[in-house]
Amino acid sequence: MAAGRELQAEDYLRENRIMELMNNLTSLLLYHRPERPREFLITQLEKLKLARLADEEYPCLFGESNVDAIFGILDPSGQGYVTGTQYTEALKTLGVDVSNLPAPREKITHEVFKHDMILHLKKSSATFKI
Amino acid sequence: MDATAKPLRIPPQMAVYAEEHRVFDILQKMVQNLLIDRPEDPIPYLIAHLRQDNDDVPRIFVLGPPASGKHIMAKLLSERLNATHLTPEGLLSNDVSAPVEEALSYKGKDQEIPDALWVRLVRERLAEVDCTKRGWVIEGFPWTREQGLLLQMSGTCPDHIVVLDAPDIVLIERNMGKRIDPTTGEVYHTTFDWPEDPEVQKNLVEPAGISEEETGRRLLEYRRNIPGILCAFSKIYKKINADQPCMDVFSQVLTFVLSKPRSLAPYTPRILLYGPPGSGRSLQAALLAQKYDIVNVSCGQVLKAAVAKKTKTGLAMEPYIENKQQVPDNLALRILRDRLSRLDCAGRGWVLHGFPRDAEQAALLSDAGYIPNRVFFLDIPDDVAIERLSLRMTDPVSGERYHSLYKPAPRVEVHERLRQNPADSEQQVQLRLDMYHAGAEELEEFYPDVIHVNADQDPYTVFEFIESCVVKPHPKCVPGELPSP
Repeated sequence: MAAGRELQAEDYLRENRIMELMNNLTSLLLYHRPERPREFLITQLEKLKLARLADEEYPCLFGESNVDAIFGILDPSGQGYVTGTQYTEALKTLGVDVSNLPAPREKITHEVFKHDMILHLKKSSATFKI
Repeated sequence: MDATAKPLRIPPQMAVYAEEHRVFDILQKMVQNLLIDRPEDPIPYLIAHLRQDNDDVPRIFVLGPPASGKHIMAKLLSERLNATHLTPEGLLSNDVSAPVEEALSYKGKDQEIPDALWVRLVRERLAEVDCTKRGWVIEGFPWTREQGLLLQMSGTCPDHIVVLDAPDIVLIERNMGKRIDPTTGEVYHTTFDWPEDPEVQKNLVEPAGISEEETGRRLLEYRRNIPGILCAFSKIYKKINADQPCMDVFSQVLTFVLSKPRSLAPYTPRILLYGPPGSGRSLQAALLAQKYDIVNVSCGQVLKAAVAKKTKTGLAMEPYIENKQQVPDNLALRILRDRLSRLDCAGRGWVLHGFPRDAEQAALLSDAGYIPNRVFFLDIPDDVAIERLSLRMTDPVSGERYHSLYKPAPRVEVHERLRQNPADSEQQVQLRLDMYHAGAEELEEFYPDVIHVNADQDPYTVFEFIESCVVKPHPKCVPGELPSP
């Protein structure tokens, strides 16, 4: 009985991606450090609710400019591409779980890089059952 | 792990923020409620949960044998905490809903109301807005282990269970004096709680079941069930002796329900010990540092170390220390700040003593960003301080320290060669005591949650008390009342 309930609870957490949601909320909270954390959390959840309907503008710590900045750091000489290892490290920096991703290609251009990063960020902040 | 990777440094403000706003507890409550209710769509549920803002409302069971004073305690508690007071009888009489009718029909047929139905009744009542907003105090429920388990399974769990207890003989005697006002349902007592209003006095009737045999039967029933119930709620109950004056019992009950359970939140202790000379600050700090692996920062030691190291600030301080004058605040603070900002202090926590001595220094310290989360005042009477210090002697040959009362020298020749540290002479100690008294009061006003410790006890007794306060979170404050010092 007890074990069954525990498994159910685990399933529930996984299906609804509660842990990812809580992680994102905690990072947002600790980054912004608002005076009234409860109200702040409510606003973030409201934003997430709206974002789910519109499928855009998920509440997330990183934006497009951050992605550009990372690319700039990884490619200081302006070659226009980064290597696969750099690409994986960049994903890790943005807090994306890389363990299940396929190995990236050798050379990744700025456009692909940006597109992929934003896609991954969106995926990691869309914390609800699909 | 890659040892060459840069260590991840977390800004200390984050930890302070998380602790101050209890981020961990907020999120833990969110997940907890999600798991209990498992709503189809968690996001709107969480929004509603956060809007309710009722993490801290009291959720209390008051249990006890007949005539132990459950009713009075529950009533006083609910008045004091501004919570809703519920009784099993009240549940049946107040509102009209499906489970209530069902229960009444059982009652009409003179049958026992099944446990599951009771639990449904309670759950339904607790979901109402006055209970969710203000919290609740339930007296005399659950009275069987099954009810307790059913409640837990359906996701209702109190934060505190008050268990009143008294010897059977007291209870039987007490129950015989019980009187009830039939119009209001209030309970009175012929000797302990006699109403002043003669109108009420006239109306009082003897309730059913106060005879010795009847009480004995109910007591037996209670004693049979209570171990099972407490087993189901093993971590949150406290037994309180009810055979005391009402107000004494109440103050104990209140202290208990205001205490918070230990939280799993990550927490670095930042402890400040303050007390007169000889109150055992250094000893307690050393014990704390040893047991909890936190950094022992003694202001005097740190300053002397800086002088010995001949750092720039240390050299600036040297004349003051040599002439036994007080080091200027800004110099002392600079050195302390260097020490407290090191990684070991930030990561493991610290216990500071010897600084601040007055509110001005305390303000400097908090301006620098070092705000202790536990402040202890070690209190001892002046004569004890003088006795502890002025009778201290050192043997110049062996370096051993003796005390004429607590640890006298073993032999006469040793006793004869003992020398006293000039700082321990009675005048010097008195001087330091005066300095302490000058700063103590304003410092107490400066820090909001000062914990007073009676330090005139065995060092390990004092240590245990300090430990218990370090480990447990600060107790809640009663709404609408300033925290008592």
